[in-house]
Amino acid sequence: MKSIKYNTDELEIDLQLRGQITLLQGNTAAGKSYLFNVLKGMDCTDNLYFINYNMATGNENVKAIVDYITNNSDKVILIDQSDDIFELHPELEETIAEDYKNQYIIIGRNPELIINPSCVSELHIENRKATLHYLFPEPLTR
Amino acid sequence: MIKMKVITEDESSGKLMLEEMNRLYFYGVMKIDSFKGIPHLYRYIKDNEDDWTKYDKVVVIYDDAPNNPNVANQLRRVRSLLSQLKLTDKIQYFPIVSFEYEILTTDKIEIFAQIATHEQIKYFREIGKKYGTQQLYAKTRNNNMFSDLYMQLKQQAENKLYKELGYIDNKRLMHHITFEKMCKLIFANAFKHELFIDNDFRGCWNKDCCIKNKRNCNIVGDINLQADIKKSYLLQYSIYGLMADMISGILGIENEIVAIDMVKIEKQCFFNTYHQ
Repeated sequence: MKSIKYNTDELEIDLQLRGQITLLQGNTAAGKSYLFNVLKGMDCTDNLYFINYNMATGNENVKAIVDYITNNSDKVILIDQSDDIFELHPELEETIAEDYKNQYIIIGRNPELIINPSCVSELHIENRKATLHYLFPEPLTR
Repeated sequence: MIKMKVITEDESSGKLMLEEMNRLYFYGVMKIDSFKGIPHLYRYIKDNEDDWTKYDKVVVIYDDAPNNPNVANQLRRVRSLLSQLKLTDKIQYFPIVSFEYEILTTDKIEIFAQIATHEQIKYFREIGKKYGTQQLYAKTRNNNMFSDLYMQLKQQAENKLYKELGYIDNKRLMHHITFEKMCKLIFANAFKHELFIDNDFRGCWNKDCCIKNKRNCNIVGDINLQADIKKSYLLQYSIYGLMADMISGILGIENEIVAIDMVKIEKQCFFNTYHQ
């Protein structure tokens, strides 16, 4: 599984991903959108792709996002405000559910995507270090 | 000795597997119970507060399957309750994907399944182990090998939605076609007629081999297998074997279960003409 590691002036980021879709939950002001914006503002994030509410307005923009997802692989796609985006564009949610070529970090409260409970995480920022804390263990595997 | 209770969301097959594990590995020392579906976990723990004084350890086994937001919500509530009661250390979580998934991805399980489904099972196991369940779900939905089953699920979901709403809502339809239902259908299809592991391990899983009355066993040719050996196979080669190892570490009980000569069984199955 992939991990995202970057050291910026603002944050030392170390996100270990689980499964194809990691759900990032947390209270308001926990720093989820802050993390999204710090990563988005960096230059060296070629393997990351960012989607937020502003980008997902208008059918043309959503079509461009769907095309990007369909035509790319091995990317980590971060989606902020996912509840609002999926409410407005269920087709995007469907595209993600069908995609097995990229990995996702979905920031939201309770998107109804195909997320395993073991992939539900919360963001912890302590002494500038940002990590994901998973709420439950991974399933047993042989 | 440590007193342990194991609670599982399964009411039928999954619970029976645990009861057999308890009997075959641990001399029946554990208490096995069901909380009857994930929506009832919190209530079960509230209603059985005595468990926390009676038992040293309570193991919770639940399905970590995609498409079920209830699981995370229930576990969150349970965690918060146990934290208030300062009982967090007494609980151990054992997530599995689901009973059907675990059996379908058990090594060599296809030798007990309908021949027409062998390729399906092998694909399912290989992709599941390599890429995980989220990707397996997507790949299964897009694979021709599973298109009939997928259409069957879609039809069922459409009928159900139409009854409820009077029209088909595509978003809701997608959420009705779950990974769990897909697993159940593949499982039922693979093991119908003979090896369907049901409420009572019906058929030959619960009985010693009946070849004395017939020329051949329907499943393993002329090998005379006792019911316990067949069950041991499922335990030994499935995730339940790993779970038993972990429980054994907690309980401090070491019990070697009946060893199974899989090579011999496989050879026999190769010559088994029943399915051909």
